[in-house]
Formats: sequence, structure tokens, C-alpha cells
Amino acid sequence: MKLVLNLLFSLFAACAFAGEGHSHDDGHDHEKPSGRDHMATLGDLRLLHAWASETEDSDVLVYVEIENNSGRAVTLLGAQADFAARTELVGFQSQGGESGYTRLPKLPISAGAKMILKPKGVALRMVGVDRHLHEGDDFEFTLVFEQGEVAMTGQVEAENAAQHSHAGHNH
Amino acid sequence: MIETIWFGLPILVQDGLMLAGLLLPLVATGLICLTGFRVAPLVTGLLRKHASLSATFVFLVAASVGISVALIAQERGLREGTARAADKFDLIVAAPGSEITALLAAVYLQPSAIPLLDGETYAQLEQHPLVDLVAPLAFGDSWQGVPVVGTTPAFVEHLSEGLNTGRVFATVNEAVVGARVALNPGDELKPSHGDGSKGPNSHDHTYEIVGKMERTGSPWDNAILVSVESVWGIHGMPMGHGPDWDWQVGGPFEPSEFAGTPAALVRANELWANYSLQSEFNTSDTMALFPGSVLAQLHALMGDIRQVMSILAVTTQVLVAIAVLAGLSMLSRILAKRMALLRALGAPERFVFAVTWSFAMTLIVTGAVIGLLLGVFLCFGVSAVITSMTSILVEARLAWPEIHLVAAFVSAVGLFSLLPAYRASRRSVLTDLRS
Repeated sequence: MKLVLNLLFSLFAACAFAGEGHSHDDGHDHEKPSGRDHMATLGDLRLLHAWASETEDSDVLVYVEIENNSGRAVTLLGAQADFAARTELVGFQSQGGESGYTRLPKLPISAGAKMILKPKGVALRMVGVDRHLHEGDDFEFTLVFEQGEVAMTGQVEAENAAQHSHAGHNH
Repeated sequence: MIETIWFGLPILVQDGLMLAGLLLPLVATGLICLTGFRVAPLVTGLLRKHASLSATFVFLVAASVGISVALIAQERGLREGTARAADKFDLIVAAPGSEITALLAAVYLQPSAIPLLDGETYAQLEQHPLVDLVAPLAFGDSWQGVPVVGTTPAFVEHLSEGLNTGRVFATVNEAVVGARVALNPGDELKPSHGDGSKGPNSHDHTYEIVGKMERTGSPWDNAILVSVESVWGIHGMPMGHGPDWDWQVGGPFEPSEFAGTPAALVRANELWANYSLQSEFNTSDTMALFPGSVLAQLHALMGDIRQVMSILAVTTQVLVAIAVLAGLSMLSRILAKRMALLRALGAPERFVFAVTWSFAMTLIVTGAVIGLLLGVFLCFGVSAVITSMTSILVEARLAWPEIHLVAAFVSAVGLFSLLPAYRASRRSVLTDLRS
């Protein structure tokens, strides 16, 4: 029953996002997400499967797959999200037996490389999130690259998820 | 709001407040039970009268608490020790395969047959602008069971941060040993092919020890480090350099003369650069992994085990507590005549209640405190055994989680103890005096 409801909700969300557009004018390139198919593009940059784990914490880690199919390096600077007080790019680090996420100033992605933001790796930390994220929810955010910005729709996965539920699917 | 204030407090204050909160039920129960009564002389007398029985109860509680907290602390110590052992290994690049196998081989020197990284890839790493250090880690040989690893002098300096004695190897005939290897500068050795498990199979090559590393707290303390050129050479392979080589060991290597390495350590000064390198070298031909991240995933699994261990520890303690309380119930029957006499002399029911509860809590709290001390000694002992067996420096020590666990146990037993105390106070005075 829950599966059916999730499916119906997903279809509804897909319809809702299909007509949604984004309009900015700050000198950068802007491209929009292709809604519930978990993919967005910025030139030859493909962004896939944005997700976060279900949580009631005020800090949320968001993950995404970035494929740089261009012939030059791109640099990820961070993200923006209306539902968070601020966002930052973080990387997992283990030192002296202690481990945690450290803020990263930038993340260059070489030409042809694939960068997978994932748990215990690189992530986008949304700080001061104003709502609880429940499994099946969608959330919107914008990835900020040195080369431009791109809006994306992320999906909330189970609390103990290790990857997006569609990870590995071809788009 | 409360969450914001709580997480804004210093960790020490949070831990202290949590301890106070856990002990609050015990303190409140004690105040309610004991206010207005002077039970100490009678409880002391009971302890003296039943010294051996009391000591047995205290021993049971102490053993249960000590073993439980030592086990939980040990799990944390092992987790921190294995993570610390991987500190110097920022990024490992290897041929595609299992991340865990590469981690175990490169960081923990566990014998593994893994494909070799080629010279072209190694050259890309050497020439990459983000790379500050790259070193081959060519394992596969050993001496009397101690792994012999081919690498570069720069890696030895990175790993040891200054040698304990001697200097870093500079030629193909020199070697440096880890802090726990029973060899010293001036000694010589002939390496064997493989891990030595298939009998002696010595190479016809002699190394002279020229230096000994500082202790790193990792399996590399029990390793012998030599030039990668010598490892290639004694296996009849190209030695990594062109015809004009001056026999000074270390990179850069000639890609066409590079015989391959099972893994390479890669280090960039900035974390972001390491992640950038990881994405660049995670291709169909190479695998780049963060030992810290792979370990964290394994530790996440251990996190679940820790929860199970904590539940088992609490269950064990509760079972022991129930056994102690059952024993106390029996003891209260033995004491029934004395208590009935007190009641007959005018002592109120609450006094009997207070004496019984105090007697139980004296045993439990004494056992818990001795158990914590026992846990400290057990931590040292078990850590020393694990360090000796694995070369991974494990420094388990009791911390706030264990203290919280014991506080919760004592508080819970304090509440459970109300039951036998109540039953003791409600016994019939007349029946007990006649019995």
C-alpha cells in the first residue's frame, strides 16, 4: 500500500515539476532540471540522482552524481537552497582516529571525470534546514559551479540509504 | 530551541549534564527514602555481619560492569586505532578491483594478489599538478614473516616523519625497518618470495639495514621498507629508470621501464585536491580510494555491532542486578527477625524500607565503582594484547559513554531495589518475631 502511495505521489510530483521553470539573470549560465527523471544538465555537465537521507536534523547532507562530459575541467563551488539557512561543500576526513566532514572551498572536476557525492565522501551540507525530510519527499536546490548554476530536484531516501534508489540507471 | 541551546553547550558540559540526568532518579529516590533517618550505622553493621555475602554481591556486580565497559571501550579503541593507522594514506590508487582488498593490502599489509598499476598511470600521477607526493607500494616479499615493501625514500619520510635511528635507504642494497622489527642498523637480511608460508624461498639479494622508523601505530611498524627498484630488480623486471640511471633510488620513473606496482600512495596538501584526484583516477583502468572513507563504511557496520554490544552489556548487568536483588530478598528474610525487633521497638516501616534499600544500593554502587576501575585495567590489558597481535596501536580507555552506561545501570537498579525494600518493610512483625 505504501509503495502504491509513493508511486502515486511520485507521479503527482513529476506532473507538478514538469511545468516548473526557473528564471535568473546574474550573468551565469542557468539550466533547469528535467524534473522527476533525476537529471539536470549544464552544457556538457550531467547531474544525476540528487538525494538525501530521511532526517529530522537541522543539518542535511545532499549527494549527487556529476559527470563532466566536457573537454575542460569544471569547478563545483557549492549549492543554494531556499529551505536551508546556508549551504556548504564538505568532504569526509579521518584524522587521529576522529572523523567528520570538513568544509571544502571548491572541488575541481577534470574533463571526462565523474564525481560522485556520496556518504563518507564529498557532500553538500544544508545547514539550518527549516523542515523535516521524510522518505519520498522531493526538495529543490541549485548547484553552483564556477561555470554557472543549475537547479535540481533531489529525492529523500530512507534514513539508512547509501545511495539514490535509482543509482545505476541510465538516463 | 532546546536543541539549539543543548548543541551550543561545550561537549564536556553536555556529558556532565547527561551524567547528572542519569543519576537524578537515584539521587531523588535516595532523598525520598532516607530523609529523616540515620541508617548508616545499621547498614555498616549489616555489611560487617554478612561480609562474605556482601563481597560476593559486590564482586558479581563489579565483574559484570568491568567486562561490559571494557568490551565497549575496546571496540571504540579498535575503531580509532585502525583509523589512526590509515592517517598517512590519504589516497590509494590501484588497478580496478575490491576497495577493501586494496585497503587491507596497502594500509594493513595483508597479503593479497592484486593487479599492477602501469607506468603510464603512475607517470600521470607523478606529473599531476595537484599531487604533492606519490609513492609505489610494492608488496609481495617478506623476511621471516615480516613484509618487505618496495617504495621510495620520500614515502619513508612521509610515514615516519623522521627516523628513530639511522637514515633512509639511498641504494638498492639498503633497507629501513619499522619500529617493531627485530633488526637494527648494521644488520643484514635476505628477503623471501611471497609471505614465507610456502617455506624458505630466498632471493639472492642482501639488504643492509640503515635506519629504523619511529613508531607509527600501524602494521608498518612491523615492515621492512626497501627501494622499489630493488624489488623489481630481484624479480628480474625493469628497474624503473632508463640507461642513464645513476642508481639513486626514488622517482621520477620512466613509464616504459616501470614494472608495475600493486598500489600507489597519493597525497595532495588540500582535502579538496585529494577528492578531485579521486574522481579523476576512478576510471575503467584505475581505482582511487580514500582509506578513511572505506574504513568509515566498515566502522558504520561496526556501529551496529556496537549497539548490539551495548544492549548485551546492559542485559548482562541487569541480569546480574536481578540476581543480586533476588539474593537481597533472601537476605531480607534472614534479617526479618532483626527488623521485626526494630519495628517492635517502635521503628516505622519506612525505616526498615530505608535500611533495606540503602543496603542494596551500597552493594550495587560499590560494585559499579569497582567495576569501572576493573574496566580501566581490562582496557589496558586487552589493548596491549591486540596491539601486540596486530601492530595496530589500540589505546582503549574508558570515556563518557561507558560512565553514562554505568550511571544508567545504577539508577535503574536503584529503582528496582525499591521492590525488595518495600516487601521487607511490609512483612508481618508478629510472624517474624515468632519465626
